[in-house]
Amino acid sequence: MQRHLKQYAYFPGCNTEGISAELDLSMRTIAPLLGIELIDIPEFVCCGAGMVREQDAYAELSLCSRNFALAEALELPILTVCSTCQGTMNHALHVLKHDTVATQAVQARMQETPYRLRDVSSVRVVHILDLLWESRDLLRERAMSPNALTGIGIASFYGCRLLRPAGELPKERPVYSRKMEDVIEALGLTAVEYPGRTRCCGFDIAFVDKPAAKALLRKRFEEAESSKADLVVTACPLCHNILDGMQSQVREFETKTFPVLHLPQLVGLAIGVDERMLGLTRHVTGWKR
Amino acid sequence: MTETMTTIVIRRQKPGDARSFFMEHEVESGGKTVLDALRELRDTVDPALAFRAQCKSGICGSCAVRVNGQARLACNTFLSDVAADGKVILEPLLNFAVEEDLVVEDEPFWKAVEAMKPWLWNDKGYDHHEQVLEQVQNGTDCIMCSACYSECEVQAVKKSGYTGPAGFVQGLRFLGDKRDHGGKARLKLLEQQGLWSCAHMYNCIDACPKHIDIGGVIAGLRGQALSSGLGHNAGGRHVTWFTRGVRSTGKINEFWTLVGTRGWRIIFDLPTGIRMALKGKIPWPWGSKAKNSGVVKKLFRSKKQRSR
Repeated sequence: MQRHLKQYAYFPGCNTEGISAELDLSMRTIAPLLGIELIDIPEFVCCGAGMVREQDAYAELSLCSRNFALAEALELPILTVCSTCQGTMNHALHVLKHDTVATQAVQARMQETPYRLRDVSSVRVVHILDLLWESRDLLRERAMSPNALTGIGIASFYGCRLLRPAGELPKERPVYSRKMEDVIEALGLTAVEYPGRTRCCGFDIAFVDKPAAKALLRKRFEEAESSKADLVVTACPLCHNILDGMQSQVREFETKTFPVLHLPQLVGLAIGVDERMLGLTRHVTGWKR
Repeated sequence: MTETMTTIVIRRQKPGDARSFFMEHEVESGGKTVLDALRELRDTVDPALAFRAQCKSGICGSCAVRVNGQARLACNTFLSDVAADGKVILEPLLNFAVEEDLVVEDEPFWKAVEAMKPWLWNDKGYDHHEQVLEQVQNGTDCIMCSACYSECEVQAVKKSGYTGPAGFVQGLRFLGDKRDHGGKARLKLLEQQGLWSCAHMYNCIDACPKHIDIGGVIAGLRGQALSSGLGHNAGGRHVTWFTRGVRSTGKINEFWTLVGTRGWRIIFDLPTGIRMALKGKIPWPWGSKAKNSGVVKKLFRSKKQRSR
């Protein structure tokens, strides 16, 4: 272990460990290059993703509390690569800091497990975008010129959970944040003004209300066309699943395709990492235009 | 003392004319709200400037407009709080046809909310001395400004069969009211009006001038629907199968969540599934397990508790 690396309790999330394993691979590839050491916590559980909340709200808060307790015991901030995980966990932090009834209910459920969260105010949940933004100078230094993405118009897709709801955001990421565009520019790349940047990809209703989900998804690509984007970068593997996996279903008559990259893949390509270490072959919509 | 000037940019559109144009004018912004600016511009620049307003106190809900891309009440939004590079751009609410300038034809909003029958379902009479529950207070906070309707992207793509955020808020309001006898029938109606079509984008929470936790409302309604034995649809199955996996192993089982959600309709997903599988994106049926996952079930209510 190199002493100068900053340690984080790494929370990949269920989708990143499963269908979006290329996000996990690319994150592990670029982490040491950014001075980050990812500490794996095998006892981390699903954050609940806002789904468990709909059956049992206190269960979701308790799942997050278990994760918080694990990170607290190691005195490490939690690093996520999924907007939904960070949104769900920041929501849990918000509730646990302000709702005493919920906090007591969660503590009662946690009593039956070995995990104890002692001080919720000591817990910090960060998203890889936050770290990349803090490392802009390093990215500027390490970006190759030219690189595989030079001259390509890149649309920043924040999605829903990174910048909403405003009241639950960490203070270093306000609702008007342009962190993704800043990171793209720090890498010497071209960020387009993408109207769909904080709009919805439809993933959460992709299997529940398919016509509505496809209508939302179609709009995201129409916006990419109108903004002259060539490629989309996302902060959430769930957004990636639908933008990448279902793109052809909403663009049946279009010839132009939009490769969709995860943030660590974007960084890896810009700093010249071996593409085989970024999992690009796992994309349904091929990444090269 | 130097006054701060703000450039107000207003999207204009005349009745019956599909074309729009922007009017730009500077105002002194010290202590002024958006509504103050609109009234000043109407009084001093263009008396034909059309906008809705009434109480000026954030209670009637008439003056909702889009301010720098976000639906807000004009009367309680200060120019100094929202100006971006000295500019405030005012546009009509989304998801409505424009009648004139900032005035929209709001009939679709009322129809959407009325579709869930937002009145007391009671034909037996009631007592008046029941204590008002918190969830009833949340719902009665709603001033029907339609800011949430404007910002909901699902609303934009579902012109019918979706009561929308304000409708859901009224739904929880009446379900929490002891005088209401709607119960399961009311939940069933909410399901028919798109309860499971909310995509969790949370625009409504940020738009609501009364800070109603609409995300919490919808989660609560879905939970009540499941506890009442409803949720026999893809949305309900999605939550059930998702939670089942997490409860037993501490992680989602992507395979069974997909299969359980879609049921026989998964055959329509096969083309996408095959394309993903060819790229190595295969959710294996056995899923994965967190270390010490045995105690995860202790964080959940039992099935018996859920059905109470």
